[in-house]
Amino acid sequence: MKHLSEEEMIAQVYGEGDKTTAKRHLEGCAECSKAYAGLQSDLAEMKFADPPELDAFYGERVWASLSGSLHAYRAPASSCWHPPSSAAGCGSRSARRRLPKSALARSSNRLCLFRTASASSWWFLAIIWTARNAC
Amino acid sequence: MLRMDMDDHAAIQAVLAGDKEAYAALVVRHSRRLYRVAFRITGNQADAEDVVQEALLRGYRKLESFESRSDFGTWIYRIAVRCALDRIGGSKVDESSRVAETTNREQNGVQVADREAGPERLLLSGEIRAMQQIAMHGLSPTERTAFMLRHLEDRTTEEIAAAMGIEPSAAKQSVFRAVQKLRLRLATLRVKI
Repeated sequence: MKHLSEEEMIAQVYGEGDKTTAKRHLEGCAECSKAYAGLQSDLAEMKFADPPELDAFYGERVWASLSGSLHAYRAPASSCWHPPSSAAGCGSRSARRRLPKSALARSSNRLCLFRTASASSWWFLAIIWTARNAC
Repeated sequence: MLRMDMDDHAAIQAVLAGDKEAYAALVVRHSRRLYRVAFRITGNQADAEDVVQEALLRGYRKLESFESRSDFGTWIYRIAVRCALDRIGGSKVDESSRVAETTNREQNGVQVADREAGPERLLLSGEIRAMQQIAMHGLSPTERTAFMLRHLEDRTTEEIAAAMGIEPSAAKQSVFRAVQKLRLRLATLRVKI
């Protein structure tokens, strides 16, 4: 007969593992049953000090000590289009962004760069087209 | 005036939209639960309070990475467990309650650093709890955390693994080793009584 390992017994005490097989074995094996009872008893005895009682304003006190060190997030921009004339200023606006430097801010910066690049391309194509027409 | 009327998701949306005061609702709602788990892992009030602060601060800074479909309570609980684990991993065990790791191979047990507590004193019921605390200090930070989450917080192996950022098999092994060590040490301490 294959006895239960201590690991299997611990899993059983905490309600995990193969419950059916373990239970069936424990019912038929006096040796494992005794060991299991000992383990249950030891674990039941392990009672640790409860956390000290907290007063009703604990959460408020945590907030009071925390709030000073938090920086407000920047609200996402409402408009997604900047005319080409303002594209040059886009980089400097990004550089002035406040902490926390977030994923949102980073993706917004990327979008800004993309807009600048695409606006520049359009201007470049327009100049070429005008020059060709002039010729 | 703190605004407690918002639910977790509304508060998160408000914070991300620039209203940092909305985070107060989350702090007040979850700090007690975080304190409880932090105390159980660190074993003392001062460290537990620091862990709560640190976890909520980290939570605020990472709030944009929080997935809106998830539960904020679970998410911040995991952050607190990791903060507590960091703390006990980095801090030294109190010398007065340290278990002398001088394993006597013949007895297959450990001896307690027995400076003041004589056998009579250990008979007091309060000392049994202290004895368990002493035995707890013999565990590694990972074992201690996994055991506390399993034994006192009633977490499953998967939840422990997720909270500690380890594999479920490692979490299971940590609980197993913790129980083995505690039983061995407590058996030795009972013999001393």
